[in-house]
Amino acid sequence: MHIMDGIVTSPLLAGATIIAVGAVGYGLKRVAPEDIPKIALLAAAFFVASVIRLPIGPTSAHLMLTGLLGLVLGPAIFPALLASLMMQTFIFGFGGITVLGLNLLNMSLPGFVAFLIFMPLLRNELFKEKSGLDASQFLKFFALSSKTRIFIIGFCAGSFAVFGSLLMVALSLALSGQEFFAIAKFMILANLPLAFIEGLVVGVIVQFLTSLKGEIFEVNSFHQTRSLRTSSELSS
Amino acid sequence: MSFSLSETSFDPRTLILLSLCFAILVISFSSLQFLFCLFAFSVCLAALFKVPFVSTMKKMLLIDGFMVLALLSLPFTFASGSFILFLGFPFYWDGLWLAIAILLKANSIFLCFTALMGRMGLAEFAHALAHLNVPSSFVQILLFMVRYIDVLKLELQRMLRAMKCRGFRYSTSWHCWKSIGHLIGMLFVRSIERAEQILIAMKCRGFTGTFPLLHHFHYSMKDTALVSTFIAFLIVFLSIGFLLDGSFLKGGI
Repeated sequence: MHIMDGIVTSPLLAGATIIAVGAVGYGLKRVAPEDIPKIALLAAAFFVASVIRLPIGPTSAHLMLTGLLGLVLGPAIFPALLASLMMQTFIFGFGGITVLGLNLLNMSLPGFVAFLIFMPLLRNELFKEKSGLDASQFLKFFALSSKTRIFIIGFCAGSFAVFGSLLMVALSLALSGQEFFAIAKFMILANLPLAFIEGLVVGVIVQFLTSLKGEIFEVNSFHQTRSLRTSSELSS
Repeated sequence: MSFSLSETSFDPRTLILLSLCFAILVISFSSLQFLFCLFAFSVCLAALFKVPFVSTMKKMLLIDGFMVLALLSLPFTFASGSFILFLGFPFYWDGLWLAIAILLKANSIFLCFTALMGRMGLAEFAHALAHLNVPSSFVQILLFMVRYIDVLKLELQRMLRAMKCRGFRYSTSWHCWKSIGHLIGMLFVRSIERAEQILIAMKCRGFTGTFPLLHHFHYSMKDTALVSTFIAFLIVFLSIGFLLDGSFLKGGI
């Protein structure tokens, strides 16, 4: 799903790069020094997990996991994904440097939007907080257990992120010229099963994480920047 | 005595910025002659900087393999200009030129980056970014990733091996997806726990949230020589681009 160098038109590239810089800046602002190891290791885990190739019928595909990363990292998904894309560029030579901003946006923006939509629901389930968006009442309507509701939230976040990324890649191709329409359409169709399976897997992961280590979803819950306590503060 | 650019060390900041300039130049024009010039230039760069031939070719073929698959459809979908019938389908020459242009662009950028930055490790790259005033927290994320990616990779391999010992096999089934879900979930849990340990250990050592920059790069005469030669070439290419293409940044393709 990476777009290569030289395909996209320059104005689109420039625009995407500027927006991506802004997004990374916004993400970094929300990062407290204490959260840096967590963000880095989660980004590394995300990078490592993409090695796993899931068979889908006769072919195989690797998971994107941006929906999960969005839920876990929140706004910090932008710097985290930029770091992993840089590593990927360095190690494999994929993607290329000029499209870094566009690729970053295509991958992280759907993840971040998934965070904005589904995190309030998940918090509701986890911490019994009341939030503005109370669609879980709607899910309760079907008399589903809390575990199932968490799975459904994870499923939606996971598939939403993949589907969003597909749409964004297709849109970037389509904006670059009519001749890429065929590739864009083919790409969306070929990856639809992946969006579904990714949803299932992310649903399982979210369920697993909430039962084992619910506080993992609190990494992103900081809204004011905490400063790292210095040694003098610790001793006082 | 034979002179080789690869043995002289340049300031990494210079190399990063020069590669970026080159990449921007490459995507700014789209005439084939221009792109052939730039490709030849990047091949020369790769030769001058003594890029390891076999491994670079392997990487390049891997990238090109991906691209050729995607670009194969272009001559059939780019509906403009003259065409011939190929197995009953219209085969547009313009589409073929477009595909070649994209291939040339990607390969030139790849070769230039490999030549200039291939010898640079990721840690050095991150260090150079810090000196280029990239926010410290981002550089730290990058450095922590570089440090711990292998640790997590081993962790994942260990867990996968354990699963295989218990009889796990990949398949298109709910069971497989659920197991993989638990595997990745466990990987995330372990990485968070590791991060907590790292934070505590760093605090014990008096970490205040910034990595102090002790080593400073030195911009030397060698760098000036490289920059001026490189920029001279880029200006020549820029004018070639204008002559052939008419306008700057008229759009990728």
